[in-house]
Amino acid sequence: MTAVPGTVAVVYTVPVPGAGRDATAPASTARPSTVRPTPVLIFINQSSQRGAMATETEPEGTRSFSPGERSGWRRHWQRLQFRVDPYSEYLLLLPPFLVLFAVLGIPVVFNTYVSFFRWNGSGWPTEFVGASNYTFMLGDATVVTSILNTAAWTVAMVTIPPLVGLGMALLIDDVWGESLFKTLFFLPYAVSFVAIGITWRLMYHPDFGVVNTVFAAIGLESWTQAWLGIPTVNTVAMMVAQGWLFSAFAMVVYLAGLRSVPQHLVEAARIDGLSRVQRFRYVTLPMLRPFTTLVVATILFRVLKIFDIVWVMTGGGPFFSSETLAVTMYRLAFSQFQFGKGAAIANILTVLIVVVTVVYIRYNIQREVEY
Amino acid sequence: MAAEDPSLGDRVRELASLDDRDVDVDAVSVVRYTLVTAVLLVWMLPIAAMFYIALKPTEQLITGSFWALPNSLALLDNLATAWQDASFRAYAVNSLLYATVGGGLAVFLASLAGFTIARLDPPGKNLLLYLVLLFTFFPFQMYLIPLVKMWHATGLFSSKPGMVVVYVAIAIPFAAFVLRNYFVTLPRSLYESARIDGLSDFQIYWRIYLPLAKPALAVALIFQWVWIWNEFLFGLVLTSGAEARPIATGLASLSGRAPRWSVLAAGTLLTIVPAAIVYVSMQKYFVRGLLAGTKKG
Repeated sequence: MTAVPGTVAVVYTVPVPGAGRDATAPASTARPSTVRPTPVLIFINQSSQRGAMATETEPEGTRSFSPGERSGWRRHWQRLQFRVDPYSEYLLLLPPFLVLFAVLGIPVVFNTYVSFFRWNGSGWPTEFVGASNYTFMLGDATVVTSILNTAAWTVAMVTIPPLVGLGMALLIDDVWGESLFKTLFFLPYAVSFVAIGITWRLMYHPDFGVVNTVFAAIGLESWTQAWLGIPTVNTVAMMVAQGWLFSAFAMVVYLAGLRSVPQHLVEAARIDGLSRVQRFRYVTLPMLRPFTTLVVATILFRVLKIFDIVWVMTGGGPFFSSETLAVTMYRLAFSQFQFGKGAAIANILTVLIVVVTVVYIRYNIQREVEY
Repeated sequence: MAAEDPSLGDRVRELASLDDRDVDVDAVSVVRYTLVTAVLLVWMLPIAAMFYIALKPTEQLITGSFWALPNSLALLDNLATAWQDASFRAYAVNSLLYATVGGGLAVFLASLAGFTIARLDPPGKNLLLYLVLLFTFFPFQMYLIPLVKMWHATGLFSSKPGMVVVYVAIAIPFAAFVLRNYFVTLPRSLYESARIDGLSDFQIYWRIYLPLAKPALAVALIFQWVWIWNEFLFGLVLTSGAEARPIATGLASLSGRAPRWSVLAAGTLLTIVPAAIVYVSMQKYFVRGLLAGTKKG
């Protein structure tokens, strides 16, 4: 055996617990496609261990962990690793899943439990009220408004921003300076919703907002109004702000999509005499379908629980008229301390998001075209 | 070429003249650039307006005309007011800590899960993957009420460690998904030959897979960094003062009923700049994170 410089050859003669279990285990329990050989001979390429090299002159049978005399954490660490190696998958999964279950798993269970109680947040929920936290929603005018607003948000956001984004992507695709335009258009998406909300509150400010100023300047004085103070108008105004972001997102995804369309297909269509419009309609558009799925699924997933923009721009007002379900949940739980009702709305929101998004993705993956 | 063949000759001539059928290229690009510029101007208007407002003193903003040029350049005053009086310094330090420590820890833990699910074939690995994905589906509203209760009970409420733990947990699922998808693309023979060379599973993870996964780690880290920096809801619910409040929540608390608009605009700039710098310099990774959903699996 010749030792490569910097390589420590370790003859590992200590019986390792669980080592060789694949060889001894019955064939039925052996997992397919994974070979887990017993560590017997170990080459550790480690410059820090250079200088004190184990060689074959050492008597057979000694525990020749490299520099044997260098006792310390490294040696123990090495030995520990091989001792626990058979259980490594559990040990490696433990930390992340522990955090997930403690911080997210327990809340999910507890939230479901709370939703069946009337609870003001102090002590432990004891006053069981059955499903009344769920049924009250249909009789409560503000919650009904909130449901309708959420529906309006969803419909508006899954239709208009993808179209605007596609238009923008087509506009800047392949022009000189594309990446600069892309960076600039997409910049708002890297900014927090709070900052976006404040930016647009400044835009809509009745006195010095850009929107009113521009309307006044071009002779449309009658159009100027307190955009965020009027029910319905304020929801549309906020949709513009949110759509601004989602369009930028859609644009980036569609740009990647346009990049993925094989040019030989477009060329072939061109040679076959298809016009620009036809090439787009029959070649490019079908190839973009997976990207549309991504755009719409992401937007769906985010718009159903929309909170930040509404909270910052109108706070759900005036008179709860612009609340979405997430805002209603926050108000019930943390302003009015009806934690049971808030928890129930959170549960409804979860079911809504999971069902809508999963159904949408499933349906679209089935329809995807292959070339 | 067999130009003698009349049909083929026609075809060649037709191909040669194809470009003529497209609209004049110069005209198209002029129209296109005009459109791009126009759209860009409209698109950037909100951000430009915010800069403009941050330049002015609040008094002039309320009394004077919008078009009146700033009578004094109040940008530095506004920034200083936001930084000092509105405790933006504390918020910025908090958010920097959450995004860096929380994001880093989350990506590390997620890489453990991603590597194990992708390579070590733990029992029920598909179930584990679905479980991780399920956690990305729950809206945050689901966690708020229990977390407030739990954090009050454990003394983590409105404390920096409490916020870090929440951000780590929220950031793990997506990062684990991205990393798992990356690890499965590495050939299995890599793992097997490392096993035969006698490396333990942990050594394989630490010395071989993790260094190879640098691009995916960058994607996950940058994405989660920007997300945590911009996070608002948990900061709103789980903090009660400046000592643990993240910057987006701090900014929102600055915008009350009748805020000082110029200071508010300056504060907004303060929150935008770090995220924008990370985004512009790491755009490639950021966009890859957005597109992580296009790969099925």
